[in-house]
Amino acid sequence: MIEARRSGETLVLRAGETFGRFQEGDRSAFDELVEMLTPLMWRTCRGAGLDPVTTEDVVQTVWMSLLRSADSVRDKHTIVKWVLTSSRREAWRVSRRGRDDRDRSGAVFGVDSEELMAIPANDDGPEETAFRDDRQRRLWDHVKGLPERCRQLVSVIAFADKPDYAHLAESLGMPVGSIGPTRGRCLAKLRDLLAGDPHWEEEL
Amino acid sequence: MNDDHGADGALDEAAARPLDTTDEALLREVAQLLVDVDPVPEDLVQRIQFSLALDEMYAEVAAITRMPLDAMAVRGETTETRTETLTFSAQRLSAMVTVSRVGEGVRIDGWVAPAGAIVVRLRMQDDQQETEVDESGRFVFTGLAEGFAQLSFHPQDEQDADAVVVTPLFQL
Repeated sequence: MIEARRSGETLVLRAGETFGRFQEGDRSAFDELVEMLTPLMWRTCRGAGLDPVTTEDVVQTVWMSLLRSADSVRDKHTIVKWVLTSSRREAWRVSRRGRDDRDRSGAVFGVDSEELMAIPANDDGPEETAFRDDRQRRLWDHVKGLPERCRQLVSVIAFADKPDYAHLAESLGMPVGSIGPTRGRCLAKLRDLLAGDPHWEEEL
Repeated sequence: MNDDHGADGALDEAAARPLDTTDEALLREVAQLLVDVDPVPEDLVQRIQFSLALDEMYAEVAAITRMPLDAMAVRGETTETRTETLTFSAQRLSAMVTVSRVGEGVRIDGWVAPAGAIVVRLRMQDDQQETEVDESGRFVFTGLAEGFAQLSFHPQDEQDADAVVVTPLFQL
């Protein structure tokens, strides 16, 4: 899954080409793009701590906005960055917006905003039974232990092609060195956490 | 875990090293973990594609906020009635929508502000309906099937598509 591929075959390049086809008038290319990038957006929002339902809303809202304002994306090769930056921004907005929106709706509709209560935007995490084994459980704990942005980055690049790492890191606001695919701070941090866990054994 | 043990310098140094096979194996393991415990919903892509297949131009996508279940429900309601309240906010208008399952069908009670001559369209997989809001900005759709729905608001006093507000899909 994570091996170097010829350039032109990485996700970022494929997405750019597909978006280019849409800009030239091929509507079906947009649906292809949705299929291609929705999983990365899911990881980005979930990594930001949004629950699954809110994540769906955010992902959908970003796509609807893009469809409406696709002309504003000048360079087709920046589409992945556009989509991930928007997801991140929207996720951030949503997690802070709840209260303001309830106050505003309360005012508009004459409902006491106290009645609308706070919706917890944080997530309880998976059921214990979702894990295959103790090793997975342990890995989950360490991934959760990463700072939010690192958690996002690691869970996005886990599904990406190696040559795309730098581009994805930049899209998520965590630029890594531009020379070659270096490990980066987030992965280094995760390895550090695992190294400090006496129960974790490297599996090669 | 000894966080302090890995001083910033050491972390920087580790971060600058090229990816090795351990990193790659670790990323594969993270990917498998996420697929197992937090899968992307199977029909999410399909739902998004449906929500994007609107025939009309729209100016704004309303932000959706979900109210906690039953926060606004009247006490003593039968358990057969489940209600959910959603609000949609856009620059041009706000809407509050209550979805209730009563008996056979699903019912939507909506309220748009500011009130005005507004046509509300409801789009579902196999159904499309349209209604106009009353003087106070209220509208109702009844006898709906369960599934996903999307609303669009069309102010009638502005003829251009620039005024149309759409919502993301929500569940009935």
